[in-house]
Amino acid sequence: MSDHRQRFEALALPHLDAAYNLARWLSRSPSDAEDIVQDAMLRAFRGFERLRGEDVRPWLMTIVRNCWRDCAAQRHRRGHETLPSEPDGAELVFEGADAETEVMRASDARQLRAAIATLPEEYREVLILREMEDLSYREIADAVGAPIGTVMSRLARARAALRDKWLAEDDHALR
Amino acid sequence: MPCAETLHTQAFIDGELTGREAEIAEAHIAGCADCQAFCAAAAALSDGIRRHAPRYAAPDRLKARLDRALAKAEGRPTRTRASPGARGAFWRGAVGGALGGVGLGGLAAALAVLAVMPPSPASLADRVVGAHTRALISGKVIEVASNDHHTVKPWFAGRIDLSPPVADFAQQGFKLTGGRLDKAANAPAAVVVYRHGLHEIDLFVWSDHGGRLPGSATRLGYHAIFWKKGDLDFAAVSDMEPGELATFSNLVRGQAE
Repeated sequence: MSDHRQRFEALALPHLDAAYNLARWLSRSPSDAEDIVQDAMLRAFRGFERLRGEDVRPWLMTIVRNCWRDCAAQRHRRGHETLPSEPDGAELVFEGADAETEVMRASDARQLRAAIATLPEEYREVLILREMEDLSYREIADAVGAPIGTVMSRLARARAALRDKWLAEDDHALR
Repeated sequence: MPCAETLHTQAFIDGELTGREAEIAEAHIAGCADCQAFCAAAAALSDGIRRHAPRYAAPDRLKARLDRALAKAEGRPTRTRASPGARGAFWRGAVGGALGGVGLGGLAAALAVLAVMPPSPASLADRVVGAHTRALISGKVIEVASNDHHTVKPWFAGRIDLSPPVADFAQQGFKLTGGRLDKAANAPAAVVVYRHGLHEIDLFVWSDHGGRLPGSATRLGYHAIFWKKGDLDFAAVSDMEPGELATFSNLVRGQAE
């Protein structure tokens, strides 16, 4: 393995899970997410020499987000739309909860994931970048190519939409 | 939309405001029912996402695929330099877009200025106390919950390029409860979280960039103690008695690496 590749792997591979998580939430499809991450990692591999002192993770998140946009544009041209896959609960493990609470929490989880999955793309991307990837407003603005003010208002709208859809259903806040 | 200050309030709970900006936002929230409701809903949502929305991990299949794809790309190094303009352009474009936006609002401009100024010792105290209280308000104190330093310490690996000392001082009354990533002095910081009775203690650790530290400081009823060790800067922040906080920081300073 070349030095070049070793350096890239040391830099980028620690963020592979984050890249996949973002692609998975944006595309809502496991197979698309894999394609997007592979594409993004190859782009990053070709471009990482020009990275000068920037944080690797936001840079990689930007590339993933752009690859997702490209992938979505291609699908649109081909005339098929990705449907949100049925949110699955299999990977959630509950510890020490009785059966009834478990069912309630599983249904909470499904509702929340469905609410996120059906947010408009512009809202979903800022929400995921903020809440799951913990990017700053500045980094999110870089990633989505929008002014910081726009990021702030999209984030507020995303939260308001989820509050109405999810929190309003019953009082999750109190559990 | 209820209150005209909602976006400021949101910036505050997202940890985007420091110093005077943060104080103004905090004072507003204290007197605005709409913004208090906004904070509560945002915190419940944040908490819900952490509990119910999974972070998907890259499947092994993808890792194998990627390994093959990189090996293939590596075999053709000339392509690397074939289109530097196009590759560089989207990143510059993204940065340009963001900078363009900074001119739009006073708040955004203030954020940009704050982000590039090296913090003075006094504002550093504001920042770590601000980060500590924001974590408490937003319920994001802990990203990895464990009282085992063998779990907490490796959690930071790959997330931040420094390795904070992590030890449990339960015997001395300071119980290790977990860790998170945060910011201090414009730099990413590892935060090791401890508990003493009902008090939360945040131990911020970040790379020393030569900045001066305040020693100790009190802000909004929270106490902070700062010190340097090796090439790392430390700040212990809590609302417990200054004497107890000093005991805690002495324990951390004295621990074997």
